[in-house]
Amino acid sequence: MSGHRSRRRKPGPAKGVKALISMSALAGTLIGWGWFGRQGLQNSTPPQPVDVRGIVEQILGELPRLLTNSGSARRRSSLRSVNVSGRGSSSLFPITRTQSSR
Amino acid sequence: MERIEFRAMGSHMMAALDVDGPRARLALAEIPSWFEDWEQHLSRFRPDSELNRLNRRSGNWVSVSPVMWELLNVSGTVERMSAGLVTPALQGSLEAFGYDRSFEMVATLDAEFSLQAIQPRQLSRLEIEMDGSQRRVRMPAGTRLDFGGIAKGWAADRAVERLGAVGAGLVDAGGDVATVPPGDPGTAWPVGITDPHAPQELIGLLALQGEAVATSGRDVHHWRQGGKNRHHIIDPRTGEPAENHVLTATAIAPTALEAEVAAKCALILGEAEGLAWLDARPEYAGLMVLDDGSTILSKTMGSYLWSE
Repeated sequence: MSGHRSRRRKPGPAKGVKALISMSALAGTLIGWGWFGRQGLQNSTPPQPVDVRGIVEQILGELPRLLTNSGSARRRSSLRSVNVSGRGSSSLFPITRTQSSR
Repeated sequence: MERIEFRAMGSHMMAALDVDGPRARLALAEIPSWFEDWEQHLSRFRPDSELNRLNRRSGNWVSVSPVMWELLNVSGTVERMSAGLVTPALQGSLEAFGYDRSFEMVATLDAEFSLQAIQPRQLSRLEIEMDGSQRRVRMPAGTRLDFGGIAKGWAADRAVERLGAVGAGLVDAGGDVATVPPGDPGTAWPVGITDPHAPQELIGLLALQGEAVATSGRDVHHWRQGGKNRHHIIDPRTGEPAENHVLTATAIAPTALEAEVAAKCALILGEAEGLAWLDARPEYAGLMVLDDGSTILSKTMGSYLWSE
């Protein structure tokens, strides 16, 4: 065969491992920053909660989580009828979705 | 949180545990083998499956496995709760309408299938003699079963039941989602409902605390046969693909199996009858998306949806 067919190399398992290591290192660094930040502030100001997850999500995108009724999570609707016709996607990241079989 | 994704039963599967650590990872790693085992018993797309062996031997007494025995019992329950609207005894009808191969094959062929004559017996309900003492069954000659969504819902329930021994879990079997409630009060599993008119979007977000949800629809698997649009949701009352304006129906129920059946009933019955069916059953809630994009909620559905 003399045709010029370029073939893209399939990413090997090593690439996934590298990505995982990079993400872990990044998360670890951020946690470290948060910890050092807290240590530095302890002498001058009262301790503040460090939202490491929030920081990671700003960089890596939203992570799945359980819904809670406290904090920044949204309240469960007490209405029996909820307007869903707007079809806007939710800002809260679902862990999965229900749909017709694919 | 730990999670695993894999393919089984012709669908994308996902399972998650709200627990970290090796025990959770080990538990999750076992799930694909559970589904592989169930599929080998229950699939009609595997020539050597137990289901196909049973179908081939209709008219004779056949010893069956505990899994098959349970599914046949479950199918009888499903028929009763749906007044016959959902039954595994429709394979003849599905094949007559061109659904004689896996979804992937039907979708890629995009061809006109020849309309075969439908024999009345192919539309009959599940009529199986069951001998519990020897765990054997005899189906009327010519009967062929297809568990379809019944198997997926059942599998999601069995898997999440086993995961529950480890912690709060969720199993998504191709859109049939079963959950074990999170341990912390006030927390819930966030599960989106896909918009069938814009599959990348969601039309709502559910908060599940031990409930299950399933969606049935004709938005994905449809084809043309003899100049007519066909899909795989057969209305046993007519023996033909259900014809109404409901594109997808989503139902919430205590188990994924019940949710699957409730969603299918709503889809077959159509918007008015389907809504009445759901509203008459306080243990279920549902949502239907119509062809024109409008959405109908059952009376109690709102309490499962999250809003700003």
